[in-house]
Amino acid sequence: MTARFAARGKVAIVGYAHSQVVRHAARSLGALAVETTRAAIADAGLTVADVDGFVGATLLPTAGDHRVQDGVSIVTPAWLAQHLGADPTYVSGFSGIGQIPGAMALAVNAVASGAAEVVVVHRALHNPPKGSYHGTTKTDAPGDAQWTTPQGYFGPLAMVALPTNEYLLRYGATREDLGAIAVEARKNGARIPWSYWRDRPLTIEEYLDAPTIFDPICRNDCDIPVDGVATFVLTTAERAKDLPHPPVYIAGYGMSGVVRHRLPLHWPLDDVMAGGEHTARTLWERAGFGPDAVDLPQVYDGFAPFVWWWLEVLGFCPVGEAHRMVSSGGIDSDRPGAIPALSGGGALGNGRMHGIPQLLECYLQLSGRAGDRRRTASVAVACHSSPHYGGAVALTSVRPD
Amino acid sequence: MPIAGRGVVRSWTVVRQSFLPGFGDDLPFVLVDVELVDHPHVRLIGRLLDGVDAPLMLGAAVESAFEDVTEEVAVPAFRLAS
Repeated sequence: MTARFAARGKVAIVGYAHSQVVRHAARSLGALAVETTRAAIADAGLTVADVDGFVGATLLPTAGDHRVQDGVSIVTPAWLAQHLGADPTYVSGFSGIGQIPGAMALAVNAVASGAAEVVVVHRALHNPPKGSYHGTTKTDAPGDAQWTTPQGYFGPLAMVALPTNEYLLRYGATREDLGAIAVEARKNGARIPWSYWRDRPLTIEEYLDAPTIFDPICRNDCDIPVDGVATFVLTTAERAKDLPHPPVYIAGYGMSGVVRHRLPLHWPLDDVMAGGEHTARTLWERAGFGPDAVDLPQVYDGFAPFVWWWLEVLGFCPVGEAHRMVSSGGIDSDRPGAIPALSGGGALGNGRMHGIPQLLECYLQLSGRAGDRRRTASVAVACHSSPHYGGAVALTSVRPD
Repeated sequence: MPIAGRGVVRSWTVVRQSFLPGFGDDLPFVLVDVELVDHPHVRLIGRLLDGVDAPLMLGAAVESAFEDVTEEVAVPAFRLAS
């Protein structure tokens, strides 16, 4: 990249709302999304009439046999705008992987370019009430899947098991090291009022007692499917000054680029790290700072080993060292001097809210709105998905120059 | 493009629960992530026919094999090379 990132510091988060995270909500996902977004707009000191942009990502992240229905199992930005009675001039959805930074990038671009002045970014996640979340009854395997499905290689647990075992074998990490991630996430998630895991931390003994499903992955390495909605409100840095809460500025974002073509769901560790290097480089170039400036990285943990890979590609420890860093308390949110990389509880500590717990923790801490969980932080990074199929957003409490 | 049918194991997993129909009777089974010796940028995933107790290690040499699932259908797989 040669030119300076023109949107740097021009856009701020000015409000939010988050629903309770539950296994199965008593009301429809669409109703939750409308209610949560109304609350977010009010939190920002605005009205629906002020909102001219709606952005989101709608993937239902299941390999199972579940129907996609707008307002029921997903909520698109257009559906949300319609049911709020809004009249937006900018409606857009992110269809790649890394849905939260991807949607944030679309929203930031829209506000910075003037395509919209006030944009709501929402994510609505659904846990289908019937059937196995990832289980399928399909018996055909067309296209590239003919090379994986007949072998029994299917679904996201298989996908993450291979690079995880590759990491264990290459660097001498153990199941105990892996378990330290979920234990830290659940400790922090147990302190989050809206979390599914509120008041329910996990011990390493409980972790190790769980049988593996795809070795070395056990259920405690995977976030639990939930119903939940979160909405953020973004506007220009200028307008943000007149709104009730301290703005949190977007310094930049980085998304993954081109990744080597592989078999379906095949994520070799070298691909994760090479792709992640691209994501991190793009992030730091746009943000105008590097890992040394960051006091609140929130790494993604939808599958626990992502935490190691994000810590390494972002430069918080050398490659191959993250398992030792985590196991020795290096991300312990209660230890002074540690890097509190899962202080918001992450997906393992909240439920399958994709990158929402990461972004929300960055927003709450940088705006001084984290209540009794408040920490001293001014520069944050919110990650989502895998470093090679995902992205990250850099945020600051002081407007960058 | 012809390939020699030999590779090295870069990772593996033991599958103990299948999300696909028809694999229940095969559990647990081993899937190996294999880098081809003559095309190292190509990696294939297949069943290791030696079973879950096979002495598997990083870099283990494997060769291609076929698993007959019916009289007319065979699925590409791997065996530890002797």
